[in-house]
Amino acid sequence: MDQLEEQQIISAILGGDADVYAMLVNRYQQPIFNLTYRMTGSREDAADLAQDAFIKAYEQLYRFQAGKKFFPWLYTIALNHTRNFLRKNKTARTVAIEDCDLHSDSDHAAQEEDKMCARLDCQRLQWALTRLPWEYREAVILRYREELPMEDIATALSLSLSGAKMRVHRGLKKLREILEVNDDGNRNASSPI
Amino acid sequence: MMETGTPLHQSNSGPEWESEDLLRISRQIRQIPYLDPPEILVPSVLKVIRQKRLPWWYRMIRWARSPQSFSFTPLQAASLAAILILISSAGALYLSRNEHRNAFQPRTPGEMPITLTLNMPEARSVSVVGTFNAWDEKGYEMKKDQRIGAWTLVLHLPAGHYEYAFMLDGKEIIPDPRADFYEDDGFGNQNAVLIVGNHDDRTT
Repeated sequence: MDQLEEQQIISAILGGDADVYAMLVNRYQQPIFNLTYRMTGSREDAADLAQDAFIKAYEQLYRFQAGKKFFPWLYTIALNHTRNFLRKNKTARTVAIEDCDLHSDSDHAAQEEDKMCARLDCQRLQWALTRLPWEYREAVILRYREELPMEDIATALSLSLSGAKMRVHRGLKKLREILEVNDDGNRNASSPI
Repeated sequence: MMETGTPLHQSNSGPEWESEDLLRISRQIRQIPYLDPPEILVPSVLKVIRQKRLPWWYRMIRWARSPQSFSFTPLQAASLAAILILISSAGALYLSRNEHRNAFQPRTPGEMPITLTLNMPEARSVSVVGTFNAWDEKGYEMKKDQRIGAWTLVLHLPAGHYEYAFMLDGKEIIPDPRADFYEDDGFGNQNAVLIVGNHDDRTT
């Protein structure tokens, strides 16, 4: 779905065809649900918050500026809504580490070890992401997981372009620091006394 | 169920990293599995939004901006035309009566419209001064009527006896050459006399 197609969908919705909104919800439900899940650590809350975010976006759709991208705008709504929820509920953020099921098209025994290492790396990374403040975490997720251009990250996080670049860069470095500290800790823990 | 998923936007990642390990981490982030949202998410959103409506003013603007078609039967069209003709005729009649009243009736009870004219095409400005404005020309500037080449001003005055004169180009004062009566001003000059209504009181 390109930007022009999105604009046509939005025009149709504003023209009164509410059911067309399902196309946008289908398209963006996964990143929005995963955002709310990363923020709350609860699937139940995440589902409610994602639903609220899509409803809020629908209610505010007449304010959406034509020519802009829908996803960064939606992301901002979801992010702010979830932050308000956390502020009101003071919920402890505990994000479960999901099992990394890396796809592989080979069952060859020699590749099993590499696959396991990659799986461990993935789990370590997910754990490290939970230690990252949300401002940095969302910046690196948007940049490297969603592969958004910096301009869109700036919009989604309500930052200037240079602010978004700095946030991504620092987020990545902080992530490396967390991983390095963890690696050192593991080495020390496993070393003989 | 989990899936690795595909990124929403395909773009070349920029050179944000300074070293191999940052590049490696950024690649690993791309592999992070995503949770699948609950299947009920889409239908539950749709269920709620179907009950919602966009703001009324926004719907009005949309309606006004979009082309509309109306259909009439010939009888309805004829009735509508007759009503429109009736309304416009009544309006025109009302306006013409008002114009008539404005021209010949005083603005406030007791006032009469008096039109003063001065045929002096060479003057650059002409004002009227007199006992009705304490000889102050401000607000009493005459307008040049291009059709007849004369200066005119309509005054609304209550019945009374007035003395007046014209001020030419802000410096020369002359009495109205078309006045019926004149009076000495006590300084060797004459003022024109204007009598409004059946008035013979000479105190004004």
